[in-house]
Amino acid sequence: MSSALPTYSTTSVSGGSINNAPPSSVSAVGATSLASGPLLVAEPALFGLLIEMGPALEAAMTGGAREAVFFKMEMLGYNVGQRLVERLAKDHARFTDTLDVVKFICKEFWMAVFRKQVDNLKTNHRGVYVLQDNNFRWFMNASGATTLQDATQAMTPFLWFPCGLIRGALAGLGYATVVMAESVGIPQCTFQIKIATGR
Amino acid sequence: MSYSRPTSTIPVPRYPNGIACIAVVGKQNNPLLIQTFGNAADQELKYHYLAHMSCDYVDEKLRSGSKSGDLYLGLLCTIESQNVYGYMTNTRVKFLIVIPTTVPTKDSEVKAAFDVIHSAYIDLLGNPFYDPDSTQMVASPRFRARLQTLAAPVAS
Repeated sequence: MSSALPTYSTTSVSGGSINNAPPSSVSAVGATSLASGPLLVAEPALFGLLIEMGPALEAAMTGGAREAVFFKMEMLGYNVGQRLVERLAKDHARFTDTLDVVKFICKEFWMAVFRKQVDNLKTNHRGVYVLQDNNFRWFMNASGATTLQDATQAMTPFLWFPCGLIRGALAGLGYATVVMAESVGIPQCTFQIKIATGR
Repeated sequence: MSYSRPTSTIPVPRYPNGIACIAVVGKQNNPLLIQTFGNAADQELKYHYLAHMSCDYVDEKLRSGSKSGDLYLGLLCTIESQNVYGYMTNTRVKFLIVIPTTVPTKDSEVKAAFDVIHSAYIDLLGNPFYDPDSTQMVASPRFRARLQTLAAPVAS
């Protein structure tokens, strides 16, 4: 799919206005907001950040258990997800029900963050959703583990941030959830969302 | 894939000048910002009260007319010769615009104004030092400044 990266590949995120220019007149502000192009993220920079996040947190949290680092990463993802979903859901119609929200996560949210849509969505119609991504973008450059235990074990540190991201996005939209992830082999990845029934 | 904002069909964004107050109400119906303009500046308490009342109207609108799925809720109520327009984001944050009934307003203008408020709010969330779950009133001067432009008289 993707080759070695000679130049920055980019992900376009929302086109919200970042104008810091002092608003001089109403029409000027309006023009800036409407005309600003999409904000772009340099994907290699993002990958570098994600890869470094695990070891850096582990080093910073002296004497902490591994779970504490995971918790922290999940909370980081949660914060980002909350803020990101506001931006991404801006132009979306009001969500009708839980399935609508999860579909939004699978399509628009996933597209914005991972540059593709979720490959498979399963639900038991009782509040549990399983999102399957067969080519998880953030595993693109990872190597090795192909069995369930190995892959999940090895990629766990890198899966907690996306879990938090999803949980934050759903929390922003008003749903309290528990999100877990596992992988049967790089680059596949599955997220399980449990939504507390009764909003 | 790009999320750049769609170019508006409104030729030049015009906002109804004569906005008396803009209110931002958070998820738990907590006031995040009550900003008054013009000669209404000294009646902030009254607008706190107005915003609080409008929350009920927002709930009512949501219960009844949810067919369109539009974020814009339209005219919520008219109290003491002030029109209150409402807008609720998908994250349950509500924006209210209060305009005196004497000011001629078009729906499209109010929608455009809400668009600006929403963008300003999204950028406020982009500030890592702002806690989206906080129940404090918003202290960001930049956010207030962007809202200030809405009440500025439109140059024609």
